Parts: sequence; structure tokens; C-alpha cells
Amino acid sequence: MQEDRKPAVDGAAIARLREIADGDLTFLKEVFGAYQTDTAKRLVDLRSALATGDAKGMRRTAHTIQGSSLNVGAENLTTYCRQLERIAESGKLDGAAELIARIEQESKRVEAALSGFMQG
Amino acid sequence: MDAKTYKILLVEDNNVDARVITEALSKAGEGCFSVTRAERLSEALERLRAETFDLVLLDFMLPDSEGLSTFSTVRQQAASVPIVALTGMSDESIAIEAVRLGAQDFLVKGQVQPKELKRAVQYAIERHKVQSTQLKLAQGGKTGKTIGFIGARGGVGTTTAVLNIAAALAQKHKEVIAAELTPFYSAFYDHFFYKKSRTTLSSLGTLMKLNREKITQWELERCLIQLPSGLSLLLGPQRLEEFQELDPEKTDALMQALCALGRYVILDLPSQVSAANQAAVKHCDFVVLAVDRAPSCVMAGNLMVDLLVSWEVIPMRIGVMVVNRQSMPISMDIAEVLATVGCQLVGVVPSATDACSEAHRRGALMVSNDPQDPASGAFIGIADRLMTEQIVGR
Repeated sequence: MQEDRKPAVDGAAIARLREIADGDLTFLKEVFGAYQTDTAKRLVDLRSALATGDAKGMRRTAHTIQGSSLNVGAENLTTYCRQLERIAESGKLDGAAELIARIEQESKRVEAALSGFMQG
Repeated sequence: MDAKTYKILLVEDNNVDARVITEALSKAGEGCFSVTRAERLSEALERLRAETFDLVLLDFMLPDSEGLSTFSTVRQQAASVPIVALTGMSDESIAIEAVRLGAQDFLVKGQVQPKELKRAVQYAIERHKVQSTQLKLAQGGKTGKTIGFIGARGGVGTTTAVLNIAAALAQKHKEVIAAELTPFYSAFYDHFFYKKSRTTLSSLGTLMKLNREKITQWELERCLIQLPSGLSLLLGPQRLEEFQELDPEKTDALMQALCALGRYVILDLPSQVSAANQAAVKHCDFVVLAVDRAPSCVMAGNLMVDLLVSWEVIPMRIGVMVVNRQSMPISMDIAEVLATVGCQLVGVVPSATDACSEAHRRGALMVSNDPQDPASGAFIGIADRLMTEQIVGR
């Protein structure tokens, strides 16, 4: 499970956000806050899509997590979500459960990394 | 920069994306953008009914609609408002399709820098204005257009594109001329005539021997070669003694003659920094830069855009045509190409070595030889786009 070579969050993406923030720390706080709230909610959605076998809902949710993850540079998470999107697109949910577990685990790493950036 | 405030409708259900884009617009725009957000398609349509916007930034994946249908619904509701698509990493192809259907541009989320975002938004708005004016003009006056094609460097397939796009135009319009402004051996001749006869044909070389004042539309007409399809060609030189740098003054005269004679003039310009090229692009309503996806070619494209801008071509009137060639060790994705080159996308031509060589073998063009081929389709699409939407009439 722990084969991820890339850090949870890509520094370049954070640099980009800092550039956009232009010294405005509340902006960064808001973005990270929105990211964490949204992602937590979507992870619940993923679980329930898995439970009900709702491939379409799973695809959409994976796509959304992917979109926000791109913004904060969560590269591994983006990759997993793309993979999940593809699985869900096929209609069959083989391997989805494992991937969702991975996504959940990775999102914890991302959360920790983002808190680190807020402190630093 | 004028102090006008642009009203932007941001249609995005994702809070993180919405927050980042709004902030980037407010920081980069220094108050020149006012952003209204809608989270669903239905809400966006309501907003569009209630007030006027200068631009819609549109995510295609919304809770109540997804994919291209999101785009077409908004387009239908607000035909006069320019749309820029917001996409994730996985839906570039949908975004390109949307551009083909009339979206002004697309931006990949999480990758856009504030400055690029600002530029993309402003360009989209201004370009759309130009197009609307053009549409009005076209209903009354002359609609002739001159479009220059230039490769970021040699060998990207500019000539193939020029010939096929001109042929696609000639299927719908009269008085289409494709002119090859090269100081060296004619690639047009090589394509159509070399295998048929080895006699040299009248060409640019013939015209360039005349004095500047003698280069008129009448002389030009005598040097054109008409193909059965109706397309007229001005070939490049075929004899050693005609190989020489083109004189910029004579090029200027030739351009005047071309513009007077042809309703649509498509130029094949060599990838060179020459005074003749500079004289030629001055007459162009639009310049298309051909690049492939090799990083070195894209970088060359970036410099070519700078060169064109230094020749006073307005950036808004430069577009990129991405040619997908085979066996490329490293290639960039379209979004990266556009970000690096810094201008709008005119079209993407898929790799078609077989169709291309088959057409070449017959001395025909891909678009007439095999209209069903995806590359031919791409050329026809580009021709349509260049004529109907992109460009200001002379």
C-alpha cells in the first residue's frame, strides 16, 4: 500500500496558491478548509455509492475530488481518483473498494500535509 | 488597459475550484472582474436570463448536467456570451470538442496561473467582440480573408495543412488561392506535379523577376495554376536560378495582388525571420502557427509568437494548430502547449501518415482523397472555424 513515491502534496501547487493569495493567509485557510470539508463529504458519498452500486454517482464524485485535489497539488490522490473514475465509467465496480480505501488513506496524508503548510 | 469591469458568471459546483478561481481573478484583475457564481446549470440559466454577462466560465460536470450537453445548453440560452470551459485533467478531449463547437478557450483547473487566467478571460471577451462585429460586416460587405500559416519550425506539416485547408475552403467558396511564399524549392509542385511532368510551371519565381510596380493582380493571375477542384495555387520556385530571398517590397506588392484577386488567400510561409515574412503577415487577417507536441517545437512556437507580435500582429489574431506527428519521444499535452505558446487553439490535427502518403502518391489532397479520414475531418473543421468564427473580414 505504501508505494507512493510522490509526496502527498506537491510544493509547486502550494506555491501557486501562495502566489494567488499574495500574502493573504485567510485565503489559504479558506481553500484548505473548503478542501477538507468537501473531501470529507465526498468520501462519505463514495462509500455510499459503493454500497448501492451507483457507478454514475461514484464517477461524478471521484471527478469532483480530483478537481479540488488538483488545486492543492494532491497528486497521488488525483491519480487514484482518475483511476476510480475510469473504473466507474466502465460500469463494473471491480477493484473500486480497494481504491476507495486507498483514497481515504491518501486523503489523511494530504490533510496532514496541508496542516503542515498552514503552520509553515 | 481600460477600467471597465467585466461581469463574469462562474458556473462551478466545486467550492475549492470556485474559491481559487475567484481569488485568482480578483488578484490578477485588480478589480476589473466581478464574479457571480452559480453551482448548478439551472441556476446558471436563471442568472443568464436575468442579467447580462461578459463571459461564462463553465465547468462541464455539474450536479444537474454533465459533458458537452452542459456547454450546448448554456450556448443555446446565451448565444451572444463567450464561454470558456473549465476542465479537469481527464476531460481535455471534451474541452477541445467544445472549442470546436464555439467555446472560446479552455482552462485546466489547478494549473492556471492568475496572469494566464486574466489574459485568457480578457482575450476571450475581446475576441468574441471582434467576431460579432465581423459577423455583422459579413452580412453586408466584403468577406475576403487572408490567413497566414507558419510552422514553429520546418517539418511540422504546415504545407500539408495549408493545401488541405485551402482545398476544404475551395469546396465551399470561390476564388480560393493557396500561395507558397518560399524562396526555395516548391513543396506544392512536389505534391501535385512532380510525378506527372517534370516541366517547370509558372511560379512565384516568375513574379519576383518583375519590378515591384509590375507585380499586379493581372500578372499574378497568369502565374496561378488552377486545380480541377477550383483551388488556385501560386507555386514556389522550381529552378535553381529562381532560388533567392524574397524582396520585401515585391512581397508587399504580391500580397496586395493576392488580396485583390482572391476572396480567400491561404499563405504557406517559411519558418524564417525574414523581411518578406514580415511584409506578408502585415496583410494577414489571422496567422496560424503550426506546432507539433515536441517540447522543443513548442518552445520554438513560443518564440515565433513573440516574433509575430514584434511584427505587430495582434496576439488575438494568432492561433495555434497542433499537429500530432507519430513517433515523438516526448510530447506535451494540449493544455501545456497552449500555455507555453500563449495563444488560442485553432485545431488539432491527428497523425495520418498513411492517408497523407496515399494522397501524395496520387497527387491529390487528403480532404478530397479521403474526406472520412480523421485528419481530413480536422482540416475541414479548421477551415470552417477560420471562416465562420475567428477572423475579421478585411
